[in-house]
Amino acid sequence: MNKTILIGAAALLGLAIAPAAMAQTVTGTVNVTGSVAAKCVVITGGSGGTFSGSIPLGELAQADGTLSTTLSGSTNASPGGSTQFRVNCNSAAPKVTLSSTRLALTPSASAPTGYTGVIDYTAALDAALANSTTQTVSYVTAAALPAATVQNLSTSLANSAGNLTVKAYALNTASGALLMAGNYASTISITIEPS
Amino acid sequence: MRSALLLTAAAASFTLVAAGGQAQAQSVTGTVQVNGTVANRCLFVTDNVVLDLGELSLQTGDVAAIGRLDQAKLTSRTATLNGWCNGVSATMAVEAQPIFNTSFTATAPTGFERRIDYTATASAAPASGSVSASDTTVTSGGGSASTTGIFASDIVVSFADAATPAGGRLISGSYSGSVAVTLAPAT
Repeated sequence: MNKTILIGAAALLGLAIAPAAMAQTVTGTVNVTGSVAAKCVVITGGSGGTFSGSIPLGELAQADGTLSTTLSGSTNASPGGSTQFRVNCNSAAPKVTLSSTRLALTPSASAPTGYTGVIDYTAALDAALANSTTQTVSYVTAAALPAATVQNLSTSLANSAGNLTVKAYALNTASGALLMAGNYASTISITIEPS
Repeated sequence: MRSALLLTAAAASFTLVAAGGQAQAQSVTGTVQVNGTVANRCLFVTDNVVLDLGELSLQTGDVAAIGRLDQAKLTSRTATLNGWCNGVSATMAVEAQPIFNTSFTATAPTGFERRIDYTATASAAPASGSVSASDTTVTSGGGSASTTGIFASDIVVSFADAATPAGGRLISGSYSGSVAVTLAPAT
């Protein structure tokens, strides 16, 4: 009986030892990656990829018929008119492209000597930046319209309401010119790329 | 081993998804309309001129004519205002008032006069050519308006057809009349 037990035990041990000699481990690695595409998105003043607004300047002439001195003397700090938008860009230096047409009598008409139906001015985009400063991109209209102003912002746009302010100021005509009566209009075009 | 291969394949697929996202970079465009208006307006730069006609009656010549209106004293004179209008529909109109003796206001005796009538014409100079408007004092009320459009110029007022109602002799005294030129920005 004892012998039988011993043999049985030896057989069991033998079986146990054989699998232990083939043991092996596996190691798996999962790389989790992602990315954020560079983008600019309109938050207020439009939707998706477009925004729009208006700057109503009101009566352009003063009592003597020439350009309002309030408008001719307006500055970036005290513009003739302005409007605000919010655009979120997630890049470090968004690129701004700015241009404008002249403020012109609509429909246009030829001006007699001493009169004008066209007003030049400065269109500006004040961008509030993430470092709490403001960067101004400006464009000055002229009889021969210059190329659009293209400028990279020095840092990211501020993540705040109204981070873009579009202004119109420094209106000007030929000295002493009388403004023809009617409606005047101009279009400021802005493109903001994530860059 | 098989497990390791499957995991590597899974990691590769994550990388492909991320690369696809970067192709979606987008920009935004904005448009701002700047608007303004200029109201129709007219303004006189020189709005008042006094024209002193001097002695109005003939002093020499035909004895029968002496004492009667010297027409040349009025018809040879002009007065110049200056003004402008900035609208294409601007108009100019004239209303002339007779020249009356302001010293003698009673009814004039037979053969004498205290009223002088005339025609006043105002002429402005738009680029498209001179525009005139007239009025006679013979009939009451103003003359018809003429469209000047946009202009900035002198407005020359001239006189014609000077006459007294009955051709009598003028009563002595001070005489006064007026010509009102009205510039209207739009009708």
